[in-house]
Amino acid sequence: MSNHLSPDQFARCAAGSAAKAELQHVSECPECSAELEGFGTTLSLFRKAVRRRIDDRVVRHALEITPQAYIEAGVSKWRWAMVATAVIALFVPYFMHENQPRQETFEQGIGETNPDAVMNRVSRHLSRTVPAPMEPILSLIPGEESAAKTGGVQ
Amino acid sequence: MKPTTTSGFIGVNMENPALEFEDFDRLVEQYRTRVLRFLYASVRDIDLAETLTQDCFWNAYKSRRSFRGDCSVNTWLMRIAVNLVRNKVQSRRFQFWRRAHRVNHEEIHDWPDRSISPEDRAAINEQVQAVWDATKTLSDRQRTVFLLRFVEDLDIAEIAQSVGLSESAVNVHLFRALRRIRKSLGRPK
Repeated sequence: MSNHLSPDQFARCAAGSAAKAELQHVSECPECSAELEGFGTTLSLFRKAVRRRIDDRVVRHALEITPQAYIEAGVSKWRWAMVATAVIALFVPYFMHENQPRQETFEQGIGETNPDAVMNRVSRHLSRTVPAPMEPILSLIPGEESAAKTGGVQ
Repeated sequence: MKPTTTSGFIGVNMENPALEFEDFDRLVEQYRTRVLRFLYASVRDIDLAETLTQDCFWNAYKSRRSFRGDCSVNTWLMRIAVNLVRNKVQSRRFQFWRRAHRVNHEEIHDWPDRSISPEDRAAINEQVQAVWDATKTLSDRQRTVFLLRFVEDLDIAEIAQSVGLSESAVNVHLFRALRRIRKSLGRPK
């Protein structure tokens, strides 16, 4: 039979609920005393580790919600607002420019309700030798007169 | 009967909810770290612990009128936290333990104290990890009692009030927890 503390007695000592006899034994037995001290140190390290972890977290969290953080968050929001405004300022004129001619043509089409004007447009269209979209290209192709002057295609 | 409290927020200023809310903010500030610490040590997941801490204060706020001042606010909050751990974590035990196993190594280590030699730091890490692992082998009640006693420094009477057990039952759970931890550390006798 061992003369040292039983597991239950050891646990009682570690929990701080030791009886007088157990305390007496611990004070007299270097082995039990050392083991109890080592166990206490280990628990203390564990406690410290958990506390440090949480305290760090809480401090970090507290820093995150400082007025400076709010200011920075505000600046960030303003920055995004400025970027959005710049994008809108760049794109809105472009879209307005794109839509404008179509709108004018549409309005023109609607405006020409006079039968003579409509007939003129139809005649103009029928007198075309090439489709209307090709007319700008035709101006770039040399005519028969200019071809004769330059000697035609070489 | 006028309730007696340590924080001054419970049962006062019923006519002025704004002031009560102000006091509640102070209470959160005062106890948040303790509650978070206990919850973190219980669930081993800092994000879940944060969520449960919020739930704890929300539950406290909702049930603030039922607090009669027969225990300290700290004990009352711990009781709510213990119930949260019991209800929420047990219901998702599988995910919880799987995740706990994954994160605990990186979370509890890395002592910032540069005065400790690398060898000593390794030894400390090993010991801390051993206790951390050992708490996994405890029953829920043993773990709760152990953490409240050795991390939160609550006395036996406060733990009894927090977990809703008699003091002698708390002692029994605590002794068993310590025996198992000691055994896990490799020092059985």
